[in-house]
Amino acid sequence: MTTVRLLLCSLVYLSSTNLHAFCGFYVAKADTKIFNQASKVVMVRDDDRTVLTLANDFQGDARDFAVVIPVPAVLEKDQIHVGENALIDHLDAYSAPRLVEYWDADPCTPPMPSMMMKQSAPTGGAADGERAEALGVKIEAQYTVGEYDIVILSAEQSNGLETWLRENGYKIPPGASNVLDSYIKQNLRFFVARVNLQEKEKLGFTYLRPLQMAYESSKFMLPIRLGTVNANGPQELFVFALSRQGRVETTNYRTVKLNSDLEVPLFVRDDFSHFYRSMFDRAVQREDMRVVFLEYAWDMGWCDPCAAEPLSNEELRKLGVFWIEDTESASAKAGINRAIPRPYAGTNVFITRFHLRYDSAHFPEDLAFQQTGDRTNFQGRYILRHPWTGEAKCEAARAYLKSLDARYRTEAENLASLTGWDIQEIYKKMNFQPTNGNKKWWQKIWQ
Amino acid sequence: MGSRHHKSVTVIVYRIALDSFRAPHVSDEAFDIASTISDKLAKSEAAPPSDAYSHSTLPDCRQWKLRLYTSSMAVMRQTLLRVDPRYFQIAALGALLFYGCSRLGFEIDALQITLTLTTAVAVQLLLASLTRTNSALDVRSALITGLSLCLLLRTNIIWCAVVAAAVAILSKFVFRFRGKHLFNPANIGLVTLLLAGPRVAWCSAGQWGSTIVLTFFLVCLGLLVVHRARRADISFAFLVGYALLLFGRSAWLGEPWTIPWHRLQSGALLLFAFFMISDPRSTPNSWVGRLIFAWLVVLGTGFVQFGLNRPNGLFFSLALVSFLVPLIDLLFPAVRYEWALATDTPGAANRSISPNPPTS
Repeated sequence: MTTVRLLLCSLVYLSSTNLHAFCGFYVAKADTKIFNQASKVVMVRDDDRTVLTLANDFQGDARDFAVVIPVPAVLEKDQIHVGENALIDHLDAYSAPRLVEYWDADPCTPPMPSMMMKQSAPTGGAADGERAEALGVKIEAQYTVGEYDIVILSAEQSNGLETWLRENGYKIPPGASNVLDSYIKQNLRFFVARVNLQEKEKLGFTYLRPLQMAYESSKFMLPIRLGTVNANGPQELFVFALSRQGRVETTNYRTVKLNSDLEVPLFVRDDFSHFYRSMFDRAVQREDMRVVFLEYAWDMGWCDPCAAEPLSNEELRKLGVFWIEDTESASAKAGINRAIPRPYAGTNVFITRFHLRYDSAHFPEDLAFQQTGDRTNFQGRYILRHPWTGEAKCEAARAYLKSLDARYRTEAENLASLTGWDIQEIYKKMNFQPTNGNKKWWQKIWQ
Repeated sequence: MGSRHHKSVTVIVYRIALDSFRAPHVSDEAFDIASTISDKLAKSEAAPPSDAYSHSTLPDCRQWKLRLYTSSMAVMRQTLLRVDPRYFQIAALGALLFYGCSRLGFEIDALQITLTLTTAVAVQLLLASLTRTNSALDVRSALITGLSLCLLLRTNIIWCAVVAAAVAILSKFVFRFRGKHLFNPANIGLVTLLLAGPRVAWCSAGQWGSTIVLTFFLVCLGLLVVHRARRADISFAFLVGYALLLFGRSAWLGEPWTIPWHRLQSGALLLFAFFMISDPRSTPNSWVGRLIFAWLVVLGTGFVQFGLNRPNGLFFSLALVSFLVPLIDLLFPAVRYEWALATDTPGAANRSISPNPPTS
């Protein structure tokens, strides 16, 4: 224990050594820090069946990785699986806010609706069962799945659990005890995972793959409270909810649609990640950091425009969409080929992408969700309109060129309103000097 | 009481008119005192001010002006009390719906609102004429039911909104017990649709948010309406009971107080407490019965919310506990509420009777 140096990373990577290279959607190199305290969770849910995927692009030493997640049931080995990062990247890219005619994979980082901890050295294997029992901690199950050693714990009280975790090389931050206690009393179990280095070496992966778990519970929620303990400022979380019936929404926080479908100046294309971050910052500020933002809600059979192609049935099934097989056989019977996305055709997988920034002051309780029957599509979409640049040879063209001034001004105002950027700076970047033509006489006086 | 007031006001106005020729203008301070006293007067059921404050040390002229002020306040209040409380409810719910649609992004369109309200009123008129009851009066109730449904029910299948409104009004004519409604109409309409599953309908309880401004706004509106409908006791009993449940549970779990507090700052909760559970036509007649009723609803809500982990516990609980109202009324008999009583002094409906506990 003395050799163990532990650091809480919580839901997010707080250490600068853990910054991730963002892929996909964020194209510029300077943007790799965008939303770098972000986590990603995929929640597949129908009735009481849930499949959670916790994306993990932990970049540090694998020995330093550990995670504690409250789960509603004791999971059998078959219920735990190690997925592929590519699936989450694809899902992220597919659902990301987009510029019309532009797409790329995404930014963000990985998540865990829980607590992530680093440990400098593994203590080697599971804890002594007798010791655990003495502490009131019961090791319900122990598995090695893929490159992870997983222990499922139940506990009688948080003190025992804390001691057990400490003795096994995890450092629990002050304040976590209360939260653990609350989960224990709600009869939740604890899913504790860390990397089995030998297995990892054997498998040959240089990165950590996402953990997946399937369980049945009436609780449709995401525990975020452990992640806010000891957190260094607000954290970023992306939740991708896949359901059969329609949009998912939070029941204990407001879900607000991101501002969308606005025309913005052309230069945004070169700096879209910066734009997205500023826009999100401003939206969070406007709502006093008390709402969950809806970034995408769409039938997963198609997209328009596509930031990335829709996921194949195979990919969806790997993410845990357990009902997709039924559909395929039903589609096959009906002679429908779902592999070809058809606009408006509709499938039975609906995605809702949430984005929230949270801390314990503004998001005191865990996120609770419900399914709705709403299949209305929504996307974060921003429009670039290239002007026509020919020579004005007719009256209509002259009128058109004249109208551009007002359009540029609107675009600049949209951008300023969305991001809070200085409008003069925006004009400068646009290489546009608004004329005073449309201004009232008094607006010209004190310019 | 009204005529007595008119008389005293006439006298006061007359004397004030005489008085003011020789009196200096009433100071701000005097008016501050006047408003304090007027509040007290209002609370003491607007007793006529004659000689009530004769011992006051204020100069004579000021006293009269003050009396004019207080008595005019009392008159205004008496006038307001004569207005059917349901107009206030309709105005309050209408304002909430407007706010929700324009500022909170409620997922409801004009078509659904129109269809819900039209259906509620049409079914009300139809059934009332079939059963030969006084239909004109109950159009207001039907509007309240329709507005409540617009505020709470969400669906993408437009005819479901029609079904909900129809079921709500129908319940008033079908499920009756001793001249009372077994269910709150809006609640039973909502619950019927919610039972059909999220594919059909859902309730976006979280969409109200929890900003303090909105909470305050709702509390004010709710208080007004409750005061008018004489069912403040049930709303407060419910809110206190529910707050105790939330805080008690959090204390047991060792959660920070911000969690129960956040849960209490819900627009849907206040709407439920002030506009739904307080419905005088479907709640027990006696105040003891209403307390028991409110707390049973609290327990039911807690069970659905924390025991079954399902959303919309409030509405399911109210629907279930409503089955017990006849039993509660049997155990704690009292005079049934009529909207007509609303024109009397507050508390009249209760004061005229005394709760009779079972003598066995």
